[in-house]
Amino acid sequence: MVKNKSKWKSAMLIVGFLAPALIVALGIVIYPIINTIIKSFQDPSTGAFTLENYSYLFTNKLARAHIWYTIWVTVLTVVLAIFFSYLLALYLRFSNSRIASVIRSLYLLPRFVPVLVAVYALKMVLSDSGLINRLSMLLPESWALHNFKPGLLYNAKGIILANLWFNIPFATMIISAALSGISSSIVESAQDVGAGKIRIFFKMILPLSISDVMIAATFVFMSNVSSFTTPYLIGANHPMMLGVYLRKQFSSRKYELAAAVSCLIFLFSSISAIVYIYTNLKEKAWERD
Amino acid sequence: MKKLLSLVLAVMLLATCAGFAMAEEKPTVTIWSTGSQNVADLFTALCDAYNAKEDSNYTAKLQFIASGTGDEALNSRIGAAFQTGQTGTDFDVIAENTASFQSYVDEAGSEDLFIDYDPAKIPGLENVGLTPVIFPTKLVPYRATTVVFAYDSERIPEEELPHTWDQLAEWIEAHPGRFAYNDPDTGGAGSGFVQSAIYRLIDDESARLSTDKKWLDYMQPGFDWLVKIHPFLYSTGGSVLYPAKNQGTLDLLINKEVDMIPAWADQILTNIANGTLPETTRMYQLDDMALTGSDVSLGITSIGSNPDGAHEFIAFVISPEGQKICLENMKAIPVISPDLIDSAEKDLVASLGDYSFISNGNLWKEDIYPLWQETILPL
Repeated sequence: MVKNKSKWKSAMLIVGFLAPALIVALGIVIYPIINTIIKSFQDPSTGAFTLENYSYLFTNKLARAHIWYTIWVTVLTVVLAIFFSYLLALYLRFSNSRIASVIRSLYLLPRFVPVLVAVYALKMVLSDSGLINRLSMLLPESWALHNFKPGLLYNAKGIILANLWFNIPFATMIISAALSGISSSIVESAQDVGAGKIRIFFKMILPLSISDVMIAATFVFMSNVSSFTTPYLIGANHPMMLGVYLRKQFSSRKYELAAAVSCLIFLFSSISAIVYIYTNLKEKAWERD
Repeated sequence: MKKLLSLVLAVMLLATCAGFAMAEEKPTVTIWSTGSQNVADLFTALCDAYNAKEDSNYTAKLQFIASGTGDEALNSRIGAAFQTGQTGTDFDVIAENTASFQSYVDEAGSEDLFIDYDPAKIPGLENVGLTPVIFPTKLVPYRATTVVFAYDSERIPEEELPHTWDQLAEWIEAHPGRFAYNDPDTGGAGSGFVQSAIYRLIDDESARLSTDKKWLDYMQPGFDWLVKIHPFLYSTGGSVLYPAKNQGTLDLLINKEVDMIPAWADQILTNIANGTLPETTRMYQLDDMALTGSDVSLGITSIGSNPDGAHEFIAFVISPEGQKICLENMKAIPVISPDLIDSAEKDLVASLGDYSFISNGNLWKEDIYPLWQETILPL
């Protein structure tokens, strides 16, 4: 009886602790999501059920260009960010040089620079009249590089460049954690029995770290598919990332269309969330065995 | 040293308290405006000057919403407040381009959103030389502003300068990459340029003051012209760019990446004054149709809480003292005779009175701009 009571008590305690977070989540996350989903199926003038907003997104030439552009920029960001991060993480894990230790203490720095500051800094350096251009003006006029215009801003190149700046440190952090879990002794023992570096990488290091690489990739994907600040500041007028397109629809008071765009972004994010959960579950199953 | 510091701090604290105490004695009148930073700076200066005057009976408070940060929602908010029958709100005075008042009235669904002002309560009103084209009994213009073509006379010699829209197209084609206009959703210089380019090819001038959707059918020639110049505009990384915001094109002119842009006259003058644009920068209009400009007006809402304070604040803004602030702070074109204003800068704006007036309510935002997007951007 006493035992039951204390069980009941602790259950209440848990509910009590969870309630504030739950109520806040209901009010500012769950309710707006439901609201947005409903709105995305409504006719702007009558409020009746319609698929018009979605069919516009998938048939309108501009909107389709924005969707493909968003997927393209995001996927390219993920691939490049993971590639560079993996190389960097491998280097940091297996090198004992002084340069490696300096990089180890510095590589997270870009994460601590606010997005706005970093993007404006990029603009100052890379814009067609920025630092690089000014420096090239110092070269003799007959040189081909005189008045060199990088042409990197206001197109996909600039967005991807800025995305890499923010995401390489993050992905490197996750992958480094995974690599540090691989003990040096097994690598050394493999070397002792004559395995080459490439063989060790593909047979041991890659399989042991692949799930964390996938997790890093999903996080990079999710944060970039819905990005706003970077493409808003250094993206082109056309095509736009979906985040910027969403804002444009909102400011032209096409709230139903804006809701459909949000649902689409949400859908893209949930695909990567599924990958994330699946990877996690697989790992759990492996641990059970 | 420490003692001195604490003494200073104590005095400052007292002064602040006293300030609050004094402020509380006077009822507040709230002024709402939207626009770029220069408009915010102007109203901050006007409110400060008004509040500092000993004979002011009210305290002016500014609520400012910067362009692109939700300013499009202000007319919806005020319209909704009106439609739900709210009274005694703090929407006392609205300061907007005269043309924009149409969208406020559209949102509210009634002209009664704004009251007819009482001329007796606005001394000095007889000095105002401008009559608003719409709602003349409700709006008091307090400055004028216009989009102009700005160029550097060092880089474009007098004899090369285009004087008609056709010549402009020829000039743009002959000088690829040297002309830019900003994305017209992001600033009035771009939308002024686009609208002038469209409306100049509609023969019936009454279209310029109409919110009727039928005029959309007459806009094709204008769009054709915009399509024609598109490939010759400023480009970066291999594609044409419509920079974001008025500042975007201004930066291109400042950095000498382009030679000519449509820009707000006051922003050009401000940049010349602080040295970011060279002294050789010139402004002018084309002969066959000037770019759009507007008188900028103050309107008193019927749902505000302080109409008397609103009248008194408006009287201050159109007084020679208020007009001097408009002229010197933002290089605005004054609405009263320059002779009444004691300022060395009045010659700067003397020649800028020539502009076209277009007021099409929500037609721009809901139809013409989306059409521009769909026609121009995929090119």
